[in-house]
Amino acid sequence: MIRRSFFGYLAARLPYETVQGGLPDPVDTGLPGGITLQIQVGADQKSLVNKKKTILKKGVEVHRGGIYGLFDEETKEITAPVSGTVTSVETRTGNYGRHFALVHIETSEEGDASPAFTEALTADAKGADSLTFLSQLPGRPAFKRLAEEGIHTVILSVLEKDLLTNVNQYAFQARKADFKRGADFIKELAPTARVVLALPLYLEAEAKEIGCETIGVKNLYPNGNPLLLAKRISGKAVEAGKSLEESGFLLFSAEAVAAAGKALRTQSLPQEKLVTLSLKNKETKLVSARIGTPVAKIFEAVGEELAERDHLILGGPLTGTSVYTSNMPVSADTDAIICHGPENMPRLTETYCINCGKCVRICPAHMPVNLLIRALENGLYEEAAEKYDLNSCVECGLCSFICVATLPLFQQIMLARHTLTENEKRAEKGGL
Amino acid sequence: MTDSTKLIVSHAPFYRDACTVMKRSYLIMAAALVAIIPGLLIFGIPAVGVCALAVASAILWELTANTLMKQTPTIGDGNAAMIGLILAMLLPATAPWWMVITGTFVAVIMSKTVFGGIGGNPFCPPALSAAVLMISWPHLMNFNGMLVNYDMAWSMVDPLINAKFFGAETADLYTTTDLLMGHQAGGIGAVCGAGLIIGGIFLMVRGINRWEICLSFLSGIFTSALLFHMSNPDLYAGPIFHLLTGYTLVAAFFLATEDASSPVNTIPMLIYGFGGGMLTVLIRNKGAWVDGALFAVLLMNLANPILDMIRPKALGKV
Ligand code: SF4
Ligand code: SF4
Repeated sequence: MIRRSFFGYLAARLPYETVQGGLPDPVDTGLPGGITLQIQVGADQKSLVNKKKTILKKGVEVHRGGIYGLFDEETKEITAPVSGTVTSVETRTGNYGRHFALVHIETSEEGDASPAFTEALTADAKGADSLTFLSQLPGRPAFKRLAEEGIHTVILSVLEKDLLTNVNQYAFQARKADFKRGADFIKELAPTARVVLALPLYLEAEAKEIGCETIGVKNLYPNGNPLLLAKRISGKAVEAGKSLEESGFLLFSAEAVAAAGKALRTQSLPQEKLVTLSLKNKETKLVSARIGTPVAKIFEAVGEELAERDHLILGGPLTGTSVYTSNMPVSADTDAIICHGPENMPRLTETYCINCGKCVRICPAHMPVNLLIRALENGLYEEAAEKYDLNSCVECGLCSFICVATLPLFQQIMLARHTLTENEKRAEKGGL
Repeated sequence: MTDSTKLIVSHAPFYRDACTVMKRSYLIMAAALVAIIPGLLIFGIPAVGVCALAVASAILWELTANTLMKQTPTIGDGNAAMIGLILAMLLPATAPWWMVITGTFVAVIMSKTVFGGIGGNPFCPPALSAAVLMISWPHLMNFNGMLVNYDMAWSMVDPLINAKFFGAETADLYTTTDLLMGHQAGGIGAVCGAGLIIGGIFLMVRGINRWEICLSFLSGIFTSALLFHMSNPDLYAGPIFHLLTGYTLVAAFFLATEDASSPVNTIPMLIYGFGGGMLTVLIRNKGAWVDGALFAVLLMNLANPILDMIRPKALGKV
C-alpha cells in the first residue's frame, strides 16, 4: 500500500519510476528450456484449439524469428522467439472470460535463425511482409496499422504504462541510436503524420538528437496514459468509446521504437523483452528476458522464491493482472512483474459507496464514478454507458486506488465495458 | 499450466490508498471531540452523560437494525458512533435521556437505515434528527430554558434569542473571545467556536471534509449577514456574531459536509454551501425559528441530487 501524505486534500501524487544517475545493467535470463506464447482467441476459436485443429501443433518445428499462423498459413500472428519443437497447444480463460491459446515450445539450443525476416527486409523494408514481422517486436508496435490509411498522429512515448516500471525510459537512454533509427523509419513510413515524442520532463534535454517534435510531461501517473497523451498533444480528447487507433492516433513505446531500430540495423528480430521486477524484499531489478520465458525462470535467475499465498502480478500495480501460476510467460507487452507477500494484499470490504467524492476528484476522465458504481453494482450496464459516461474511462485504476469504501470500482468498470463490447459483437453477428 | 504453489489472485489495482471508512469516522469523531471537550468542561457531568448515551444508543440502534434485518453488523465502520456523537454536539447538556435515545433512533434508523444504510441517506442524519427534536419538543431544545440552572460568569442567555427578540445591540454582550472560548449558551459541542474551527481545519486539511462546502457555507453566512447588517444595523447583528453563534460552525464542518447528502462536484459544492449559509441567516433574521442552520442544511440536502447534476463533461463526450 502507498502511504499518503498527511494533507489529504491534495491529489495523490503517484510518480513513475525513473532512470536517473547511471543506467542499470539488465539481468539477462538467458535461453529458457521451454517457452510459452500466448495469443487471445475468440470463443469459437477456443473449441478449435481444444479439438486440436490448429496448424501449430505438437511436433511442428519452428525457427527463431520465423512467423507462423495458429489456424491458417495466411494470418501470421506468432513469431517464434526460439528454435525448437511445439510440445502442446492449450487454452486458458483470463479476466472477464477472455480466452487465450497457449503454445508451448521446447528448445535446447539457440539454433538457426529463420531467414524470413532478412529476406522480407531486402525485398522491401516498408513492405507488408517486413511490417508484419516488425509488429511482433517487444512492446507490440502497430507497424502494420501505421502503413494503412487514416493515421494522423504518431506518439513515441518514453512514459510508462504503469507504476513500478521504467523500461521505456531505460530503452530510450540506453539505446538512443537505435531509437533514432526506429523513429526515422516511422517518419518515413507515415510521411504525412505528425510524429510527437512524449517524454518525462527530466529527459527533455536528451530529445534534441532525435529530431522530432517533443512534448515534456510531468513524470506522474497517469500522464503516460495513451488516451490522455493524445488529448494533451492534439488538444482534443478522443471521442468517448472510440479507441486511439479508430481516431487516427498510434502510440509506440520507446522500447518498441528502439527494438525496430535494432531490427533494421542487425537485420534480425530482437526477441528480448525488458521487464522491471519488483521482488518481495522491495528490491527492483531490470531484466531482459526472451519473450515467452516463464516467470518462474526469471525468478530463478534473480533468486526469488514464491511461497503459498503470495501475489504475482504481470503488469503494474494499478492496471496489471494477477496470475495463479509462475508458469505464466512474459509476453511482448509485459513491462513489469511484481511479487509481494499476502501482507500487502489490499482488502476489499462489503460496504457501499459512502459518496465521499474522492474518486470523482481523482478521475482524469471527469467521470461521476460515485453514480456510476451505483448503476454497475446493479448490473445496469447500458444505463451506465448512457448516463454515467462509462465509455469515457481511460482505464487508469485510480478510482479504485483511492476509494475509501475499498470497493472494486475498477473491476466493475472493466467487467461492464467487456460485457458491453461482447454484447455488441454478438448483436452484430446475429444481425448478419 | 498449474503448479502446486497456490497464489492469491485478485483484480487490479494492487495498491490502495490507506484511508478506510472506519478511519474516516474515527478522525471525524476526533475532530468533534476537540470541540466537545471544552463543552464537557463547561457543562460538567450531565453533558458527559448525554454524549455517552448518544454514542452508545446510536451503536445499539444500528446493531438492532442489523440483527432484525439479518445483516452482518455494520457498527464496525464507526459511522453509527459518529452520528451519535455529532447529534450530542447539538443537544443541550440537560437533555433528558429519553430524548437522547429518541434522537439517535431518528438519526440512525429513520434517516440512515431505512434508506439502505451508509451512503444512501438523502439527509444528514444528525441534522434531521435534531430538527425533528426541535419541532417535537421546542422547549427541550430551547437553550435558555434548558440551561437555566447553570450559573456562570457570563450570560447564559442564548445569543441568538437575544439578538432575535431584543435587537442587534444585545449582540455586543458577547465578545468574540467569549464566543470562541465557549462562553455562551448552546449545544454541548456547539459553544466552543475555537474548538470547532480547529477540528474543522483538521478535517479539511486531511481531505475528509470537502473544503469547498465548509468554506462556501461560511462565506454564505458572512455575506448574507453582512448585507442584513448593512441594511439595518439596529435590527440585525453582524457577520462575526452569526458565524460564532448557534449551530453555524457545527453545520459548516460536521453537518453540511455529511458525505451521502452533499454534492461532490465543484460548482454544486459551492452552490450547496453558499446556499446553506444564506438560508441559515435568512431563517434566523426573517423566519420563525431562532436558529436556521439545521433547516438550511436539510433544505440544501433536498436540493443536492439536482445540484449534483451540474458536472463537468466527461473525457471525449460531445
Ligand atoms: S479507471 Fe476510474 S479513475 Fe480511471 S478513468 Fe476510469 S473511472 Fe476514472
Ligand atoms: S471513492 Fe468510493 S466511497 Fe468514495 S465516492 Fe467514490 S466510490 Fe464512493
